[in-house]
Amino acid sequence: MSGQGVVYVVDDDADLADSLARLLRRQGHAAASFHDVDGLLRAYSADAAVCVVTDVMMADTTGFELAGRVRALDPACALLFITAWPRTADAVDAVRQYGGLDYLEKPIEEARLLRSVAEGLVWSANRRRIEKRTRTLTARERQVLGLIAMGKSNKLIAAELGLSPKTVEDHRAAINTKTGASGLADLVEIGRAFDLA
Amino acid sequence: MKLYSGRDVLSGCGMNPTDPVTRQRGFTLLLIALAYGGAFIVLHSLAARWGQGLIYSLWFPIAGIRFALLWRYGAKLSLLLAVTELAVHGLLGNLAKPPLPLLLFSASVIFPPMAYGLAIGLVRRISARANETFGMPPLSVAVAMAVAPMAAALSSLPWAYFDQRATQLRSVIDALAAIIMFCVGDLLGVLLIAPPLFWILRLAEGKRSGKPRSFPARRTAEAAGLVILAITIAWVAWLAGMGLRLEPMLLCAVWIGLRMGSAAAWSTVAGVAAFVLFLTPAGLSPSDRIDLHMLVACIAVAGYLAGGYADAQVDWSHEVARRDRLLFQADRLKTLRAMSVAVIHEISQPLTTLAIEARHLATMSHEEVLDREELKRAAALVERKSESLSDLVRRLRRFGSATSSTPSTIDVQGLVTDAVLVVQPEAAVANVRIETQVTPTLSVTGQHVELQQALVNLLRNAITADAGGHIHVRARADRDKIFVEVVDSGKGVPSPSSGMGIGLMIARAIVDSHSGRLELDRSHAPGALYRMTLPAEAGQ
Repeated sequence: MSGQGVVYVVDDDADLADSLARLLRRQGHAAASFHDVDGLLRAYSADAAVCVVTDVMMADTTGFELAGRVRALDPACALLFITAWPRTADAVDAVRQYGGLDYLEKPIEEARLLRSVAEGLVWSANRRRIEKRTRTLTARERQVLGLIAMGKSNKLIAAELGLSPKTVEDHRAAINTKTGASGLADLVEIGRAFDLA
Repeated sequence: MKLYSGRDVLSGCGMNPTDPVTRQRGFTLLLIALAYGGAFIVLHSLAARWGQGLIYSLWFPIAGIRFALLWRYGAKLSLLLAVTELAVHGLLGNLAKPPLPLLLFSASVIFPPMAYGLAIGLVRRISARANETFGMPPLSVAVAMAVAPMAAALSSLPWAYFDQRATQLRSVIDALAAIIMFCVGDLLGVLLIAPPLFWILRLAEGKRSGKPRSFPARRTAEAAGLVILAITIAWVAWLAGMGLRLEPMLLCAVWIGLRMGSAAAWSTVAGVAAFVLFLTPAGLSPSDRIDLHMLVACIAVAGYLAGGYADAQVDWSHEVARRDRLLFQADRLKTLRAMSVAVIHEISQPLTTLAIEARHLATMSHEEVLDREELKRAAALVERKSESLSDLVRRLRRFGSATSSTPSTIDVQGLVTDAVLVVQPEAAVANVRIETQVTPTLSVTGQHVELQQALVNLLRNAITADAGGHIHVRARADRDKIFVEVVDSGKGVPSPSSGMGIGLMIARAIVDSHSGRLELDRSHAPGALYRMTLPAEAGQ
């Protein structure tokens, strides 16, 4: 599991952040703990993480705000939220709006946390692969890819984007080349990934 | 003459003669009987001095002892007292009579004590059903003191027709006058002798209520001044040829009774009575003496009723204060329950770390090689988190506890810190920041838990009104007053509050009971500023 990237833990309760980091290290992850948002962001610029575990209610900022800023820096970082004041609305927002993978209540179920971190690592690796493949796509090409992933035919795509079907076909060819996609299924998987951003 | 055995007396008093506790009681009763008998012998001859030429004595101290014993030890004792009196008469040789006069004489001896018992029992029964001021002992005893002599007078008069005093009862007017004389003599006896007897008995039993109330010097001076004024007026009247006028002393006794209670009233009355009983010339005509004694009896009744009423008021206010303490504790428990959800969340924080480290320790304990550093770290965290959880529990438990029986010195800084800690979970949930600014080394006297509760109620109100906002708590001193202020920023959002506004009422009641004031200062709009003003602890 090591060598797969670092996990950052953020909680304004220093003891708790350290405890969680040590727990993750015992499981073989590289982990570091932070007690405030600024500390995390500084470290992040130097060394991007594959996963960030953050408390929701902190003194200066909320974990959701932090998530937004991390996402802006790095869309491929998995996000996990932990909280001492769980609310259903927050849990839904965490996953749908802030791109979180899980929302855990304190006291934390260790097993669930470790499972989610492992999931996060896989997700993050996947995302990076996809990002690498789509890095060279232009904005228009990304649009087309998104619509392909929705299962729309060339004609529909052309109609929606106000292009000629031929242009759409050209874009499609370019996409296939740039991403090295092995077929429609592959294209769909790549296109779907954009929805999670 | 039938002699009653001890057993019969006990049974007559409603007790089982064979029970060992009863036997001890029986011994006490015997003691009482002997003491009473002795006092009777002494005081009976003394009373004769004020009964010369009259059908009844105008001062009957025995009545006072009778009353005190019956009120203290129960109306059923009256049979024992009656029998004792009869026995004493027997010792004095008054029972050497032919059968019919003997019977009548015995009846005239027995009936007054029994009448006392009856009156006392009745007043007791009525006041037991009443509550408020009338039911309180000081007033009901004052009423009994006025009523019992009248009952005894009515029960004694019929027998006077049958002995040598009948010559003085030629008409109905004489009979009524005789009743009045009996009342006067008994009232004076009861009102002068019974109160000090009560206090002696209570002190002997070591009860706290036996100690007299203490008054500020100003009030004692006021009373003394009034007495001097009244005496001066009476003296001026004497000089002006109006005779011995005791009316100013009546007003004086009533005022002192209302202001200082029955003990002070008794002192005033005793002074007047001593003057009238012992310092007036012995050659006073019977009608003059009746005049004086009646007036003194009125003064005594009025003063003692006033004092009894004042005492009952004081007792009642203590009772109300005691209920207040219970009410405040109930409110604290209600607050704890309302906060419980937030507290549960607060607990989950240290518990998370505690659980992880404890698990880690458990896993480590199975390993062959122990990583010393890790062991130390994990153990230290377990200890620290357990300590903080214990602190939380202790803090909350102390908040819900009953008040101590005596007020103590409270450090204001500690008070504010404790209050803020208690509401911290709820503040966190509502996303409210609390800042404190407390001048150190301020202290007040009172109940820590209650003042903390007042502050907690104010803070909770502010949190509810200002979710997402900012609260300031300030404490400062200004000469002999201490101000504790809770200000919310007014910029937050009011949460829908489920409370009934009782928190503020309770806070005000608590601050009032600590001789302080709670007020709302609207000059800090849009936020609300609540200011508690408390007297600083003396000697700061």
